Amino acid sequence: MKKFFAMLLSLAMMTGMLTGCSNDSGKDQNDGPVTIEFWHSMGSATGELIQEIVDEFNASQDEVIVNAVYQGDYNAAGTKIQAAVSGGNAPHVAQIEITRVGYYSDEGILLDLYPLANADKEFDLDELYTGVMNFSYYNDQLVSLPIARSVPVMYYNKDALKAVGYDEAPKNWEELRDASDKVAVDGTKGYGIALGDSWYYLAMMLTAGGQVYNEEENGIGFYDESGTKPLQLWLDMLADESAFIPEGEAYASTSALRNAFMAGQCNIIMQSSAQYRNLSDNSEFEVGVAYIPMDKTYAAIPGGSNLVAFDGMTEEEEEATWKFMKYMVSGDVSGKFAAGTGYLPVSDAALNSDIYQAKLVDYPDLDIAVGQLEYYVKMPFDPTYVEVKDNIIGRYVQECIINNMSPEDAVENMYQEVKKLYE
Amino acid sequence: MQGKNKTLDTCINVLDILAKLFVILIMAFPFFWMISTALQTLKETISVPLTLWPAELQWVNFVEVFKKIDVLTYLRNSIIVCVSVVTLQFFVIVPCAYSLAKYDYKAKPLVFAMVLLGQMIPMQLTFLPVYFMFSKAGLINNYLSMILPFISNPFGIFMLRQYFMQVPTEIIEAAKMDNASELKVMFKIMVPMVKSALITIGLLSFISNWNNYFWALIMTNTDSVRTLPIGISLLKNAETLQRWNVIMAGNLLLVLPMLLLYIVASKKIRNAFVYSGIK
Repeated sequence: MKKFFAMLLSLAMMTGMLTGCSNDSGKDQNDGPVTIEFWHSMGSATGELIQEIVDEFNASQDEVIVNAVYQGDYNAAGTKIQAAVSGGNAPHVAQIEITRVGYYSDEGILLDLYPLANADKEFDLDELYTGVMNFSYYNDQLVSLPIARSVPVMYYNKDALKAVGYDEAPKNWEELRDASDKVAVDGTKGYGIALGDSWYYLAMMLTAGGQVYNEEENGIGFYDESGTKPLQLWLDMLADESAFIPEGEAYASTSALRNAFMAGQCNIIMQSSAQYRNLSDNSEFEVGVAYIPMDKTYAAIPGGSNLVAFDGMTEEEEEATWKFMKYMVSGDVSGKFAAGTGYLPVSDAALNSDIYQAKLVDYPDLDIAVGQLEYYVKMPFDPTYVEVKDNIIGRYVQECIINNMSPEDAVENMYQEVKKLYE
Repeated sequence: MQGKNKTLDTCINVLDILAKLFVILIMAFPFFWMISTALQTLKETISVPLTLWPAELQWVNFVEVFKKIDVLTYLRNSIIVCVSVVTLQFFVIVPCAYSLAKYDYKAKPLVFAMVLLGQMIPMQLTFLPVYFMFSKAGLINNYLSMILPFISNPFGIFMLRQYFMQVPTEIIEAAKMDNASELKVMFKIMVPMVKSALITIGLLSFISNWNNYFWALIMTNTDSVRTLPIGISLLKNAETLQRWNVIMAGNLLLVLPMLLLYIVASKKIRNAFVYSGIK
């Protein structure tokens, strides 16, 4: 018996080695279709949709074969891409979370798509919405194209708000406060705050008239009232118990907030526009979508991910890569992806595509986020921004709301620390 | 006096049991939560107050996992990788630990220091150089890239060395008097005496390789060689709804072999302790 087991082990090992060796990834042949490696970060249903779109692309022509590979979430994929690029194993195309595009651009490893786009008579860059192009041009190079883009929007419980006299969503901060106050009865709350992601703080700050970065792009652009006002609003609303933050470990978790909203614990939340179908499908009540309420102006801070291509391919591969990227942002494909996920259509052609319009019948508020795109904002586009957003701004927002740092001190700290990064 | 002592003993016993129950609860609850979630409907997983146990067991979640990902391929790859690693480790760590425990040679402090260093430097620091090495050698994206970096096991060498040191040198000398070769001494005499340690090391190493997500993700690009943790992570959605019930069903499939292995091996560990003759 023991011997049998030992033999089994060594057999398993041997087969392991053999198949392992024979499994080298196929190299491109000189003639025949060009194979393009495409790395993405979309799991589950969205991943299946990506695969479906790629399969359709492969079937639609016989010059390019795209091989789509899931590489883990944005963080894991980011690490993997760094290793692969330095090891000379970069894919042709990859999906990258937008605030990280600056890092790769600065490293000079991204392919400038502009010559390819410019030479392509069938393609018009101006058709893409300006609001989703803020992470595309770096030092006059076209380094990325929008794919899975989102903006934060406000979701509200239509039934609950109607009951307290709000037939329409709160449009400004005053109405947000008033509606939250009125709807917060019997243990439920009005406004639920997702504290874990500084995206929502920045979204509110922008509506108060601030900018993410200053004119010189070497420090925060809300070193004034616009930075402190959202914090003060949150503190006030938490104090009068019309707002709440999901309890416990899930402090930092936006998904805890979504669950609280779907369960009716709170009635107004801010989340990615990509969440609409999810929230709508799983709530017992009618879910409304609206712009982030404003203090002075509406604003749409971008989120999500873009497509990039890596430098150092053959001319043939570049052409094949461009063909694929162009396909991914074309009207029908972007429309299909947006309709299937809740991400934003990237152009009017996508918005007006049959498949997207058909989805609007079931999800009437799906295109509200698209309207908000009109209020696009200028975004910092450099390697440092990831650190600024995740580590500095996020930290001091929490210091203020959880640990009693005054809003003025919190913004002062953000200002000082970001300034240090650019000295 | 006697009576008082008895009450004290009972008190201590009760406290002891309570403390153990508390620890068991802490350890077991995540497992319970995983099993419970794996059998809930999507609605139940996201409802507040939380659902402790589903109203109706949703075995269909497991079917869903099999529909979504190619479980069998990932499972096969995981088994190939883990079995190979553990087997190869056996042949690397036994001679190394034996030499460190029973021989004196000039390079011994250096070898020992290297072993300790290997244990102390975290993988996050070494993965890039190792990746480059493998990438240059053309060893990316196959089983070897997930097996070769792990055939040494510093913790195993260290632990085995401790065990070998407990074996009286007389036994080795006696064997050598009978003309036993070094190999024979190592594998026929020493190894059986440290069976319990070897099973423990093998089990721990199997578990850590089984759960290895980061390395397998970095080294591979095709589903045909990827392991189960990567497959399971595919069940997660990027930015939208997480179907926790399906994810947990997948996780349950992932840990099930571990649990079975543990149940089988725990018996062996006990037996090994009884027969090994080592205190």
